[in-house]
Amino acid sequence: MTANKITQDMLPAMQGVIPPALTTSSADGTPNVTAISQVFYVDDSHIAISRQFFNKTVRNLSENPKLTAVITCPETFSMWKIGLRFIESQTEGPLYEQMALQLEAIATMSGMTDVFSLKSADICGVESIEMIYDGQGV
Amino acid sequence: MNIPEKLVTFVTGTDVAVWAASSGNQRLPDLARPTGVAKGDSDDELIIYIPQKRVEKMLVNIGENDQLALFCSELTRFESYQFKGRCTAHWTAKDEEVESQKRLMGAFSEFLAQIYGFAADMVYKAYFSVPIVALGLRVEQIFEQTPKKGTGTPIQKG
Repeated sequence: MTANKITQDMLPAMQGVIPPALTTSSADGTPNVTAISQVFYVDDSHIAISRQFFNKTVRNLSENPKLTAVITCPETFSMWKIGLRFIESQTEGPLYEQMALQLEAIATMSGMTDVFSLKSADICGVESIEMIYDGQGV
Repeated sequence: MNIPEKLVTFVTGTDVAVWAASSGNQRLPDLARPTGVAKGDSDDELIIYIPQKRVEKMLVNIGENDQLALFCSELTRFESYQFKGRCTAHWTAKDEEVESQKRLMGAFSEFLAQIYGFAADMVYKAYFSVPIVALGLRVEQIFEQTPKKGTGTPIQKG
């Protein structure tokens, strides 16, 4: 089933326990895939991804704003595939500060305090959501 | 491009998480969680195994554009690599391939349970189901993607 609003049951998957996976595509159709530290809830139709390293992702988004992420709930292993459209990068302000704080917590949990540093909060609009695993073996 | 032996060992290990990506005519990238990866028949080929129920969109994309990307990351040190190349073929995994993936996913689930405390059977059920589709990936480029400054360096360029 496909929807386009983030629901309450998806929020545990956005706490940074299990790293989300993210894919982009260049204009010529070369896919790029990486793990990211967090998909951050903004509102029910927007999320923000933490930009730390991903040079190729940034180049791809400048050519093609479409991206897809998979998030996983650490309590049930329910998984959702989220189709996204990149809107803008923020490097200051309340959202950026909240994400930086959460990233600091994730870095501490994963022993990456010297490595993780937030370059920007990349805001994306949610275009589609597909539950790909319901946590019940289906 | 021949895949260095140490990277074949790495990507086929039981302590790595793997993700595969494709992009079709509309340039809408798609993502699927494989059960695992095996070495292909030639030194430049890997085989990616993905449950059939999660690979449908990827197969459509591959019909339009044969480019694939495969990301793999070790679960404790986060040593990571990305393999890029083209899909050479896809087929329904044979019984022996399914058995091999079953063993791999069993070991992966136990590893995740030991390290992070997740229930092994929950992990296994989330990632493993049959039937499984095998995708041949002829690797053209490899990039290091371990989280660190300047990551993304090509290992070898084809």
